[in-house]
Amino acid sequence: MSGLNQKLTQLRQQIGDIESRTNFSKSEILKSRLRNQLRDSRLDIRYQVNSEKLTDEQLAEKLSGTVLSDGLIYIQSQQVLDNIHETYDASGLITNFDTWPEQTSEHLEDLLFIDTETTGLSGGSGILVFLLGVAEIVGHTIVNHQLLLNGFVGERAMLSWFNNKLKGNKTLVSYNGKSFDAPLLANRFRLHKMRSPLLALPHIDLLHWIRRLYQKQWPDCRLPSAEQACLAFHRQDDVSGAEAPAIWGELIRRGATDQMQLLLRHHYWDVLSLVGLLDVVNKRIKPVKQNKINYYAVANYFLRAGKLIQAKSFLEANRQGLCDKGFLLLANIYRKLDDGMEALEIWECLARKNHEFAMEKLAKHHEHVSKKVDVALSYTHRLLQVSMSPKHLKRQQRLTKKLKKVNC
Amino acid sequence: MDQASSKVQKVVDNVSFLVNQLKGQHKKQITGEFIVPEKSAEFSDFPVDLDQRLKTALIKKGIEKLYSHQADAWFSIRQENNTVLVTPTASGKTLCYNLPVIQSVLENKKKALYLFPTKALSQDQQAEILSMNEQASLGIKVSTFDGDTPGDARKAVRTHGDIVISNPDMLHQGILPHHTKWAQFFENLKYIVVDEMHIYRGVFGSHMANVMRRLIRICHFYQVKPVFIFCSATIANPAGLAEQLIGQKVNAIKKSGAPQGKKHLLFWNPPMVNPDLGIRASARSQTTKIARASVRLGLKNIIFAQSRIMVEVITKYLKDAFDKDPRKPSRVHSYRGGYLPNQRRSTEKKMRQGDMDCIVSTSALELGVDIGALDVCILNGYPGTIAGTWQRLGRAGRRNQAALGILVANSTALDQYVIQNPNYFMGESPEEARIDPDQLLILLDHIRCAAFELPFKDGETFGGNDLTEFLHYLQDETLVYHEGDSWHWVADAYPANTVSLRSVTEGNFVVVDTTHGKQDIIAETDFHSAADTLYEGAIYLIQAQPWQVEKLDWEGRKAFVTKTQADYYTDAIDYTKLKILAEFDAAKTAQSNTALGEVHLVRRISGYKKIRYYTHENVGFGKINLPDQEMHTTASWWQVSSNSLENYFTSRWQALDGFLGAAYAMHHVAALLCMSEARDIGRAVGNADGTWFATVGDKGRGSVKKFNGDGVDIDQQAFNPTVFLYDNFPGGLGISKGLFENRESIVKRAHETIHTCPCEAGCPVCIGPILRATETYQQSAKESALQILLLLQSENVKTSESWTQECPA
Repeated sequence: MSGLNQKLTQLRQQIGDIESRTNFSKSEILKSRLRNQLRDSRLDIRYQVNSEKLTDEQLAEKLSGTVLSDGLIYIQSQQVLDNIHETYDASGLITNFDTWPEQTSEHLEDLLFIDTETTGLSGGSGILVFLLGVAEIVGHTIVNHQLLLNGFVGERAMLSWFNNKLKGNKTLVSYNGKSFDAPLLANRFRLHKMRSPLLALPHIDLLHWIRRLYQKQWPDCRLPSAEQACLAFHRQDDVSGAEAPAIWGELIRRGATDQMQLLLRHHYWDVLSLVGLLDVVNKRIKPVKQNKINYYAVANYFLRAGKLIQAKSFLEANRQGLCDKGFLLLANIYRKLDDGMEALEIWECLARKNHEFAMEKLAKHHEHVSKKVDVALSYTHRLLQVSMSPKHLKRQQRLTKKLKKVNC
Repeated sequence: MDQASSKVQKVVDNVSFLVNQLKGQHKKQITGEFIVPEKSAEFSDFPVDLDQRLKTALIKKGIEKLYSHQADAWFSIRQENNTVLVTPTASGKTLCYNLPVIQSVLENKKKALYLFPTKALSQDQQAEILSMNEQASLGIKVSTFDGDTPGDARKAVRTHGDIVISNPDMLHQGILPHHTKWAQFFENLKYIVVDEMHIYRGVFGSHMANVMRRLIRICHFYQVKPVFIFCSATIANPAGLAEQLIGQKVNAIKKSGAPQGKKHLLFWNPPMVNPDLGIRASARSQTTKIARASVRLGLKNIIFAQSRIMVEVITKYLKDAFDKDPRKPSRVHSYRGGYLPNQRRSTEKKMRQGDMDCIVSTSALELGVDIGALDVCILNGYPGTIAGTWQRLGRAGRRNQAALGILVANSTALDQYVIQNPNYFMGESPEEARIDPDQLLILLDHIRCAAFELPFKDGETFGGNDLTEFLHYLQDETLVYHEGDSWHWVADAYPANTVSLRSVTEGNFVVVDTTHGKQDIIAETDFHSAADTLYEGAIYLIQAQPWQVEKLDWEGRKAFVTKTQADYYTDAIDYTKLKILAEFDAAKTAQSNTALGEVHLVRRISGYKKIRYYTHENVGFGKINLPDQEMHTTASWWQVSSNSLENYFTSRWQALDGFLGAAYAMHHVAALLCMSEARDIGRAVGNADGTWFATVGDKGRGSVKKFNGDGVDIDQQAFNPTVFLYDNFPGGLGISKGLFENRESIVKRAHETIHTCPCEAGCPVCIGPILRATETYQQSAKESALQILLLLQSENVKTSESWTQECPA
């Protein structure tokens, strides 16, 4: 131990730093921790403590990839569109994708499905993307490109490769990529002082769509939950994304590849699922009858995106499953489209259940549009039974006065 | 004479009336009095290159000329000099930096980062610039970026803010680690404004210097070299501190051109109620008494108290006197952190408009906030620094009109020390803000953060420090990875989150309240003070409420306490052993030796005393079984040659009393000169080789022990008594270096304090509490302490011949 080393360790003990207060050195603690993990692990060769870092060529050979440039390994794999995870047929995308509500590229071939593995989940300029996955649909096939760093030296080449892919009229598809992967990659571009169109490209974040559709039904909207529910895919013998930083550390420090192979498969699954989930969402938001999703959230999205007709036909197609909020939204759309009768019908239907907002709408309608003051007043009386809100009281007073005038 | 000026005249009269009244009736309480003379304004014309739009905005605000220091600042900053402005309260310092900053935004869309230590200040600052903006539609975008900034607004701040107002903690945790998101901002960054620079001292300042190193490193990455502008209260070393903070040359502007009314200052010591114990009447009672007299005379008052609770208590007492009638608008208001912003704004407005007579505040009001002109400022207790005292006193004073400031002392040792030595307030400030940017632990923390922000290159330095060993250390911890010529961050961690700018500790203890089966965390204390305060049996005080420690889980860093009703407090009995490891510097004379060096300190806390409140009698003991506390730190130490000791003292005991008394006084002088709290500096008296150490026993006289607690016959031991003053942090904080540099001043001032103290045999103001002067000693501990300090004053006696001549025998 060098002088400074010793001093730092001593001082950290003196301020009560838990990690350094035992007599063991840090590396001894780490080793014992690793030994424990090894004992508990199914994979006995998980940590090859004494081996050396692999050359790019050795690594490429082990992972059945090629060396793209210094420190950068390229692995390609393909998968037919109609048998994702051997459980899901996404070929509907080929004919069906043209009505997607967000701004996207025109051609399916211009979608780039992206996912990253990183040295940390915290975000910030010190987090590295060491594995980048980009998938494209070519005909009936998904072509998946994986770029793996065998050291920091390969990063620049990885980013240029990616930048080349981004050329043209591309659209990104990801799971939580708007908040995580894209900003992180943008950070890396800036650190290398490279310009990239990344953040300006259209970007479909499937997490947002899955949330809109299923947040109420599911305990969580993590990718594995979506895979199980929508793609009938259950991962087995998978590593978790949280282990990724350690797995890459073991690769570059000691050339450990077994875990990395599992991680590559994990990452490949992630990207394939993006294609499957895009198809799922695409089907779910068509204006045809759908099963058990949050119709309101989807329609509301259409509405906020200014797609009134799409919202209307989506709600109409799913009238049976609509909640009160969904019906009110539909009534609102009808009113905007000057279809007052349809709106009235919905409100009346809800008013039968003493729905406050619907009754208020009806009171307003009969007071100002149809001018049936007595009907308006009767709705107001019913309203007051539900809520003694001052606005209802005011309306009651005003309508009573009006009625007297009319009667006089 | 028109009506307005006759009213002014009357107020002036009332201020002098109050001064005379106080001086007449309470002569004994006044320990010092100064008059700061009136000073007229010194103006400069607008600089010729000042943007026309800015000029318009200023004229619309009623500003037709600049004060000379504002113009000085303009020229210094425009010539791209790092600049520190040392100006009194309310002298228009914000304009000093706002003018060049706004000008450069208007000229070429450059950006600026403002760093304020608190959020409240940021908001006031933003309002200030916005008002300027409105005057001439300058179109400057100014935003605050702190913990309260909502997520969706952050992007706009990063990309569009011309002036971003933030604080050091946010810069450290939120901006620098995400600098790539701020690329656009950094690429155009031209000015960095650091207000309240004097706050950045000690631990906080040492962290701040490292945050600045990281900031400059990031700026370098974006190929900008911003100009730093500092503002500081008056301290002895403004340029020195600024230069230490950024490692670059800084130009100081110390001369203010702002006008100043005449100021009358009184130092007020509450009357003694128990001379034996040195207990005085409370500052609170004196403060309210003075305030009542002042409000009755129709004067506008501000009272500063040290704690929120004290603000409430004083407010209540004054409201009882003046706001008895609920139908009338209240004349007394309190103002402190924890109130809602609009509540505070309304109080500020009332005060500005003169709708109330007295505002009672914590330091929340100390800075920046405009509350109009006041006649009288009363400080309930010494604010801890001379600079802080002046800042608060600056609150009173109208232009061209006399004002009164009164400092009322508490009975704490430092307060008493200051109140009886008012001369510290005259002339140049003696206070030096000390930092140690290369404090090993702090440095290591920030090297970690910096490695996360950008990879280090081989041979790259950080604040001039060679990093090779540090980076290897981090590599061993698997935090960084060396590849090619760079050290990359590889850990799954965000290092800035685990580094607090306000402390050096990691192993904090939490205090868990288990009364009635609860499990509430009610306090947190740093590792360092846990052993002193959280031993089993200790009475732990929170807001003067007693809790008893039932169980201490040392490994788990938890103390379990229950609420109690004890009429005693507990005081740990500790033995300290100091060993000198290395001497860095020394100044020797024939009589004495003063040195600076590295020491190893072991503290053993062996037991505790229970001491009854008020009577201070010992009502019991308890044993404590805790691991020894070790610390490597830096220290300054003072020794007297054995010849001199033999010549000047009849017994070793007598000399020891002298050392203990001198150490007490030197400790307080040292804290004052280095702007530290007394607890930031440790003090010990012992033999130079660590064989024995001395403490003050029950009777206020020295007692000598070995480290294991055994008594020692002092006449049978090697006798080289030494006063140690050390940095009370592992690794040190640069304070001892300051002490060594100021060694003569410390000894001289300590001597002065004891010499001028009116007590008979020693008291908490000079050498510490002495219960009785026993006849067995031929001279009082006070005399012995004076003798020691005389011997330590090197310049008095140079050679061994001369001391024999001066020898009283």
